[in-house]
Parts: sequence; C-alpha cells; structure tokens
Amino acid sequence: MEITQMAALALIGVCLIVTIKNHRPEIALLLSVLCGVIILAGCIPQIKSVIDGIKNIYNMSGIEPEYMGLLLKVIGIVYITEFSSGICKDANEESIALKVQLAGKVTILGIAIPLMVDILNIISGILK
Amino acid sequence: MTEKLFDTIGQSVFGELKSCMVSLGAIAVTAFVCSLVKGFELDGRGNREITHGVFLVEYVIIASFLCTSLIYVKEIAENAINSMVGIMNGVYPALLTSYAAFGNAAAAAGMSPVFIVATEIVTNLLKLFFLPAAIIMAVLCFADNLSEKIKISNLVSFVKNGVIWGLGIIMTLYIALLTVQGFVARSSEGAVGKTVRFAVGSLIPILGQYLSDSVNAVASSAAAINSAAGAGAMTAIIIAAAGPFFKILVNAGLIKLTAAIVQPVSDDRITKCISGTASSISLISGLTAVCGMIFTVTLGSALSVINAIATGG
Repeated sequence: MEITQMAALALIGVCLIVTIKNHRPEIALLLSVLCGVIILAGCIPQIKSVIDGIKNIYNMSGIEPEYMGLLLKVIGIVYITEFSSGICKDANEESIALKVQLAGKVTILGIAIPLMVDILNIISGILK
Repeated sequence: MTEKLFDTIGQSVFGELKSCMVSLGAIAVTAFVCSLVKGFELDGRGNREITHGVFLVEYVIIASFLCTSLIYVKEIAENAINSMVGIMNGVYPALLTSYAAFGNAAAAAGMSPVFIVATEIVTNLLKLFFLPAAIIMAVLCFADNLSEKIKISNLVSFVKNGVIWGLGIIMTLYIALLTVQGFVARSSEGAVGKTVRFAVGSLIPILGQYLSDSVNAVASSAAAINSAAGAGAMTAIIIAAAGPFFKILVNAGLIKLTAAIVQPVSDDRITKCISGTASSISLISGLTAVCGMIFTVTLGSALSVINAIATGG
C-alpha cells in the first residue's frame, strides 16, 4: 500500500470516527482499531524488505543473526504495546493501558536479561 | 627494507579496513533500526520506560560487537609483543657473543641486565598490567554509559591517565637506564631528527609525546649501524611492530568513525560508549608502539656499541 493510500485511509477513518463517536462510541472504537490494523498491514511489504536488507548486512558482517532477531522482536513489542496502549487510552481506559505497558516492559526485560548475562560472560572471558 | 615495511603497512591497513568496515556497519545499522522507536519518545505519547527497554537491548548488542573488536585487538597486540620478544631472543645472544669476540666481555656483561629488563620486565608489565588496564578502561566505559544517573567517568579517566603515566614512566626510566649504562650515543638535533620527533608526537595517539622523546635514542643508535646483520635485525623489529600497530590504529579509527555516523540518530550514551572503546583501542596501539620502540632502542644501542668496539672508538 502506498503512503498516499494510507494517509487517505487514516483521514477517512478519523472523519468517520468523529462523526459517529457521540452516537455510537463502541463502533467508533472498533473503527479506530480497524483503521490502525489496515494501515499496519499495508506496511508489511516495506517492513519485509527492510528486514531482508538488515539481514544481508548482518550476514556480511559475520555477526550472529540471533541478535538481529532479538532487536526486531523488541521493536515489534514496543510498537504492539504502544498501539494497544493508545487504543485503551482513546477508550478512556487508562488502567488497562498501564497494564499493557507493564506487560510490554516486563517482556522487553525478559529479552534483555539473557543478553546482559551473555555480555558479562564475554567481558569476563576477555579479562581472563 | 623500505619496500617491505610499506608492503606490511599497506596490507595491514587495507586488509583491516575491509574486514572491519562490514562489522562496524552492523553497529550503525543496529543504531539506525533502534532510532525507529525514538519517535514514540519524541512526541510525548510513548512511555519512556518502554523505549528505555529498547535502549538497553540496543546498548547490550552494540557492546557485544565492541567486545568482539576488543578481543581481536588484544590478540593482535599480544601476538605482536610475543613476536618481538621472539626476534630479540634470537638476535641478542648473537650480539652478546659479538662483544666477547671483539674482546670486550665486560660490555657484554653490562648489556645483559638491560636486555633482561627489556624482554622480561617491560614485556610482562605491558602484557600483564597495561594491556588488561586498557581493556578494563573500555569495560568501565560500558558501565559508565549504561545509566543516566550512575556515573563512573572519573574512574575511567583515572585508569586512562594511570596507563598513560605508567607507560611514560617506563619509557623514561628505560632510556635513563640505557644512558647511565653509557649505551646511548649522542642525540641528533638536526632537521630530520626534529621532523621525526614532531611526526611521532602528532601521529601516534595518546602516547606520542612520550615516544617522540625516545626517537632521539633510536635515531642516534640507528645512525651508528653499518652492518647488514644489524640492519636486518632492526628491520625485523620495526616490521613486527609496525604491522600490528597500524592494524590496531585502523580499528580505532573505524570505531571512532562509527561513533560519528550514529551520533545524529542514537542516544548520547551509545555514542560515548563507542568513542570510549575507540580510545581504549588507541591506547592498545600505543602499547604496541612503546614495545617496538623499547626493543628498537635496545637493539640499536647494542649495535652502536659493537660498531664502536669494532672500529676501536
């Protein structure tokens, strides 16, 4: 999907949501989620080509591909967390938004801690 | 000799450029990819702690790439020091025998402690103390830049200054030992000597000012060499030091360049971490140069004494 199509879809979605928000807020919320999902889905081909390019650079450097996988996983977690948290805030559900953010932080920490252990092992190996 | 020296330097520099460029490109790509989430922080809607989680992962990945470079550079420096020690162990006994052959056993006895100080004490100090200290400086730099609140930059500076001062003291004491023993010829104060001193002081990072003062001793000793064997031995030491020195210097330069490239898109702490590692690697290149300089001065002094004895001077 081209950027102009995505922008047009976003604008149309916003107009519809603003129109029906006062009458049917639950439909407005669903429409908001639907717009977001369609726009993100439209980015998938571009995201795929970027990931392939990054994979090539990492392969050429001889660095383990798992690092790239972890990094992209973390970035994906951030986007999903922010997306969900934003929808919850739009629906005036701050407490659920906070819970989603907490879940995102814990998941990212869960990925970071084994990396920290790895690097501490590398550093102790150097100093030996 | 000049051709072989330039060949060695050329192979070291361009070979190293090729192999390092791609791996350092991976660091730059990691920083650019993580900059994608910066937008959340900048527009104020995003939760800062989540983007801090991304920073942590990005920092650890970049630190592990830098550790790989540190391990590689450490191996180059250790191998360079070991090969120089090997050359000295091969050449020096023959030189001492030459003293005795010219009927000056007393001079041979006088040179033995100097030789032992150079090959045993100084090299062990460099390998077992100063080289690990330079690595520790890089590790402390990683720890310093991990948190915004907890800072140990003064400790990093202390270790760096300690290494620089320690090497300066070793160079000064060693040249003093040679001078007291009477093995260093009159210093050269001509235009060439001054130019070489300026070049060494400017081009060699961090330790250049200490090494430039010892260039006098090297130059005056080299001037007294007029035998093929002596020149060959000096060449071997210089080539053994120059190749690894330029390899390590290229690594430091490329890491510094990577820090400059990622600075616009990356967190300040990541840029400082990469720059700190480049400083540590520059220090390791200086260590290699110091080792080469000490052995060159030792060999040059021994050869100039032999020449003096042989010509009856």
